[in-house]
Amino acid sequence: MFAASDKKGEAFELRADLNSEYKEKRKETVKKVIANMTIGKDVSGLFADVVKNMQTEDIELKKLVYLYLINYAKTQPELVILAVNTFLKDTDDLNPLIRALAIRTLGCLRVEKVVDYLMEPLKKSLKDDDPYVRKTSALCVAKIFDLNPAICIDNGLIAILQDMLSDRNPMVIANAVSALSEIHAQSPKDQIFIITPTSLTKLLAALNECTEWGQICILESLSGYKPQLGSREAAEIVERVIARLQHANPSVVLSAVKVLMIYLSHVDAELSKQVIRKMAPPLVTLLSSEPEIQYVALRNINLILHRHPQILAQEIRVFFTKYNDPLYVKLEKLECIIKLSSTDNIDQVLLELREYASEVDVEFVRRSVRAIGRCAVKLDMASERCVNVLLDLIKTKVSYVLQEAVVVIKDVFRKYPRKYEGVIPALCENLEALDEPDAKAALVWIIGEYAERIENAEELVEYFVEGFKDESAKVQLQLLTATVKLFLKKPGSAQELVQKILQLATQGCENPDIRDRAYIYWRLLSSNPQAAKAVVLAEKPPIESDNSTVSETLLDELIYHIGSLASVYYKPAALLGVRGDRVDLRMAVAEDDDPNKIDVQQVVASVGGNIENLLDLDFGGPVAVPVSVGASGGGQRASNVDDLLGMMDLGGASSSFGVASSPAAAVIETPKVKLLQPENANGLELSGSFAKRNGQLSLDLVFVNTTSIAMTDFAIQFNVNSFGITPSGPLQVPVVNGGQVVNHSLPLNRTGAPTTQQPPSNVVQIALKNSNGVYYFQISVTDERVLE
Amino acid sequence: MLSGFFIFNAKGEVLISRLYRNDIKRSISDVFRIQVVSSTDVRSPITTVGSTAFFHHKHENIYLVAVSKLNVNSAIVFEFLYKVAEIGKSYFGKFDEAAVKSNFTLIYELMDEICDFGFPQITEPEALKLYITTEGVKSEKAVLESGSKIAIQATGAVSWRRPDIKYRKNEAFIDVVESVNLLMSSKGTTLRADVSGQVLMRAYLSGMPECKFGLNDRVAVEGGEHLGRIVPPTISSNAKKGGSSTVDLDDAQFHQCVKLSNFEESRTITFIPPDGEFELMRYRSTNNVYLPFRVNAVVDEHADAMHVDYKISVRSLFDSKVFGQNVVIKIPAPPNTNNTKIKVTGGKAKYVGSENAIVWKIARFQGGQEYVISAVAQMATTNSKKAWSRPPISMDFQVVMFTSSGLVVRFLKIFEKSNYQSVKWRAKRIEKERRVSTKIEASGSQDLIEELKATNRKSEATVATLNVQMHAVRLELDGLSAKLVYESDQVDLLTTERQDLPEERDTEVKHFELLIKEKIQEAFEEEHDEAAKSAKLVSGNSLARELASVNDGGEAEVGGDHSALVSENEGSHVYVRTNNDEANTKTSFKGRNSWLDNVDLLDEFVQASTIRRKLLSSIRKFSGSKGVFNPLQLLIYDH
Repeated sequence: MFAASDKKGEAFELRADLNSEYKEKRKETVKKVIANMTIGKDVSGLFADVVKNMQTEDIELKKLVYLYLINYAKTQPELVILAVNTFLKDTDDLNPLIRALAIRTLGCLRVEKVVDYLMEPLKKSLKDDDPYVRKTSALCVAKIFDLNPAICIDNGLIAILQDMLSDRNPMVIANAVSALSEIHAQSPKDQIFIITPTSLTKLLAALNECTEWGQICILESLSGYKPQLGSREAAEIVERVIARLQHANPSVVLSAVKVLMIYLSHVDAELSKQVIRKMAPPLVTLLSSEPEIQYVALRNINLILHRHPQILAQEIRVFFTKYNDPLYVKLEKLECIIKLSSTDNIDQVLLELREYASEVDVEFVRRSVRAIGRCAVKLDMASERCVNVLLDLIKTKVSYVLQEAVVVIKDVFRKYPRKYEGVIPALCENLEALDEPDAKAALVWIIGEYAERIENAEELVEYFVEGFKDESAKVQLQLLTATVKLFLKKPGSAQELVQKILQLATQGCENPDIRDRAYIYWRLLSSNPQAAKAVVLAEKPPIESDNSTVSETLLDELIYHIGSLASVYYKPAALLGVRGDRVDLRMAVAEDDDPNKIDVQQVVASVGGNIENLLDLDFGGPVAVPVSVGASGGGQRASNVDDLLGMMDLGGASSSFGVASSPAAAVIETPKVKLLQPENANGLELSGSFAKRNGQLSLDLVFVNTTSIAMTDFAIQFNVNSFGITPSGPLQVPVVNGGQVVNHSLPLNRTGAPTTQQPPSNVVQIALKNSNGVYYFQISVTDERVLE
Repeated sequence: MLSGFFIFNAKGEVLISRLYRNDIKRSISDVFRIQVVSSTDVRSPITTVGSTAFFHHKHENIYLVAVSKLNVNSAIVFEFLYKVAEIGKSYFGKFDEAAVKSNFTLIYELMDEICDFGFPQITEPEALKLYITTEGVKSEKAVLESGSKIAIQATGAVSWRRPDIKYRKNEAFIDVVESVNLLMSSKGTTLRADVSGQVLMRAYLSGMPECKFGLNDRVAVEGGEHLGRIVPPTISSNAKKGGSSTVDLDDAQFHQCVKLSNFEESRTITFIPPDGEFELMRYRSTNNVYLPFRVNAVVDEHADAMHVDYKISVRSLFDSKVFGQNVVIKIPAPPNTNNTKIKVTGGKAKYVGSENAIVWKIARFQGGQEYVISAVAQMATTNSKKAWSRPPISMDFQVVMFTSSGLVVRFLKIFEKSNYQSVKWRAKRIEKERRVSTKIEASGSQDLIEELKATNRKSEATVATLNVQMHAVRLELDGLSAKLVYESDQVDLLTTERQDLPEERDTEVKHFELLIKEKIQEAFEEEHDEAAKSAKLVSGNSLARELASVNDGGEAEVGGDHSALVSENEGSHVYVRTNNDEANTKTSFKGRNSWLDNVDLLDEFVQASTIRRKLLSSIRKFSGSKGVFNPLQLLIYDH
């Protein structure tokens, strides 16, 4: 952009040129400053000199200075005040574009001091004659709210914004909707944006008129509305929205699909069927858009197929990959193919997958092979055909195809025990070709499982045991189990082998898992071989096809987020982003009616509790069926372990630490436990306990802010629990300043509906939100007297 | 919503950075550079690091990147990025690193305008160009005056169109472009074929025209009832009857100017078009796909991995009266090809290293023909063991008046408040329409004008007095009135007028008459609507006279769309359709009700082709230099 010469000289030169008497020169220099800013150099030192150029008739120059201001206002709050006058003058300009520009930029400055100056002009421009100014001002309110919510409410800006929903201009309405949704998401308790039947009519009318982006805003807001006037109203909304499916902008289509999916439950069966039918062609059309959108669409189609598998039943061909699809699109198409595969089309699907397995991209080939296995597990009737294709692939001897095939055949074996034993010889032939842990582990598992049918099982196991030390942990574990199985099935011939491997594992292995498992087997075998048999050779629970990778609760939540990041990652929104944006909106809406309540906590729990690092983008794959220790259920295993090792009872932490005092005692307090660690909660340390004072149940909390920045916006929510404990009111902790310790007692009552589904538990799950994020923790009721 | 927008070059340097929200810092761009630009293994267009999501779209040699901290609607984000690319293309022609670098201040201006606080705002290039211009800012005064107008339009319901567009000639073109996706088995049976098509419109229309557009979409035409008979779209069956065959569209998506609620209710496509070229509609069809070509390919990779043998034949399946243009067949060759030997029976073929393909071009491909290419590609030895992925053969071509889906544009009606009429026409594939907004300037007496006005109730005449007797007449004939003039025999009309006039003004009237005649003729040449076709027209008549004189003893009749029926003594007929390009003129010959292809009539054909040549020259003479003929050349009169 321009040569960077001597730095000192350059800053000096720029400053001189900014004060040049020639207008053109000054403008050129401002451009240079912006160029410097873009490449990341700090040019904030020129602040005063740049701002001098603000008062100009040249709009281009003005915009450049404004851009500079947006970037550096925060660094020089005192100097910004100098610029305010020019801004205020501009908000009175005759040209609406200038008025809007000034308002827009003022909102972006984010300097507290400026906000006060801004109030009057903003109020005026919210009622400007020109729609362009109004639509800009609407968003400005959201900007200010982000900085200082109180001042917006005090000045009645929110009320004006709410009035703007009935503006004449559709774009103004759309921006008002955006601003209100934004504000609502920040403080859902204020009920700032609740759609009523009247505002609904206006929104629906505006839907027809707005730009594509405006349509999306309105559709988004509709998804948060619950029809209050029964199915007639829902049907009307559906009718209005359904026309959007024909829009050329795929994001409008997806937003429309989302609204329709949400309203399906509110309309009668006939209409619902019709809507589903109408949704199919636009969904297919999304696949002919640009690859990035295709990717988003495919992830969402997959979700929709979870809920309505029949919707695209006839369209499986459109998911067949094209040569020039990017890999990420191909992989997603593969997922959809599996989802849509049925006994009717399996031949076609297998032909296609077989073709993919001979393509060049290794990753895609592996997934295709895996897909064949998944189809086998999914479709009982077609499993044989799938297995035949897999056998074909094994014969190709292409290393990675072969290994992947072995891995999936193991799954097939688990689904259909003893049905495809004929395949085993073919697998064993390729023993030497396997070099990946997964494939080896799978084959070893198969050998162990079918030890009695494989004549030379001992030889095969021995082959692997030779190299036991060099194997990865996964293979070692499998080998251990397989050898024990072999021994139990053929005690005569494998005794030496099993002793050898137990020795190896207990003495020569550093991995505690392997060592422990070896010890358990050893003890089992030596103390009670019958019990060992019962444990190791127990009937395994059947594996299910992977249709349930997204649980029902999660699916419900994700449907509300079609098109969003959450729906792309299949993660609840609360786990993404700093603020749970839409979730909060939803929670507020759902609070009054329990049956459909979607609880973040519950959803989070259903993801499996392990909040995966989102950096790991490779989550499309099947959940590998865990080949367990050989025991059947987890519970059984656990208890076996307990018995064997005679460990102390971990199950119930019911020992009471309570102070012995009569129930009538005024104060019952239990010791505080650490609930949140600062390293996991952005610097917030939280400890707490239940207490009862004068008959009032409460949760005593101690907030410690270990950072230097104040934390605000605290809110708390309890998951449905066995005691029906809920907070009596919102959490009254306004601000915890940096380094401050705040004690707070949250009054509770037991009026909430206790859960009936879950087994009773003394654990209460709680979600806590503050300005830095949402955190989840649980606390046990250790002294039941607090509940009395 | 978006927290920020960045443009990176291929090296990961930041070219543009615009933060919309406070939750990210500029330095976040480093994360993207490390995670995506420098990473060799990018598995998704969305990359999430911590709680920050990066959405990227690669355009030319730059990355367009949006950053968000929220659970943002990913579809919007990508659509927004595409829009940025589109705006960039619209502003700079090519939107690449060089364009970004030399226009960075303008891009900042645009980024400020198209997105506010992370919400996409006005993204229509047409609207943006009103107030963000490449030549810097217009004079301050102009900006001040137009400011409010611009602001109102940019936020209005029709943000994609300026209200004050004026064209001297109002024209609208509709192109149907289809791409056929075909998969054939090695035995040559079609495994799957689907068509995705675009209807592109180029509108050069004044004012705020409201257009209504009709296709032979089955649902729209027959209200859901299926006739079950689908005729292949040969030129003769579809052209005249138009709606007789219909197609089944699986789905259709429309440009945002189309009123979707109307479509949902009544399947009519109504819209106010943006100015210039845009994609009106996209559609898909999987039923009854007519394949224009058949390609048979035998590709042998030698075991030594040193050569690949090709033997590929391409056969056109469409009617022999039609032909394909600019046929380009790309036959992929392995990346390490270093030498090729190619033989073709038609067209030209050569190996293009940059595309890793043998490119075979055939300029004109008559229907029912077959061309064959045989080639050997020799490869250099390489170390890379990576197998050749054998990409599919692709083919690019244009066949005028042929759509694989059988889609036919039935009509395009245009309503505008003031000056133009809707003209009915029907054609296919590449159509063109021209509305009549003819201005007739003539001088004549007031009375005459009054009379004329009385006859043509809907025309407007403005009269300026030149002197006592002579008046300058500006007669605005809208389409309807122009038609009225044509319908009543124009010469007679003028004669009648003359009879009532005093003799001394005879010369004047004659002059007037001539002028009007000329003007109307001119107007007619510019206009090719059906209404005119049905009438006996001045120009038609003169053409017919010309033709008749060439065709001694025969009769000639010319329709409004310049199709001519020339009957000969022997009772054979020649139908002529003209086009601006002589080469495209089509002649069919009909003798005793049988078509020309009848071998028995060969003699007559020779005769007819002489006539045809003569006709052509006369038509050319007639149309002269100014005559832009309607390119509906392939519609053959179907008597």
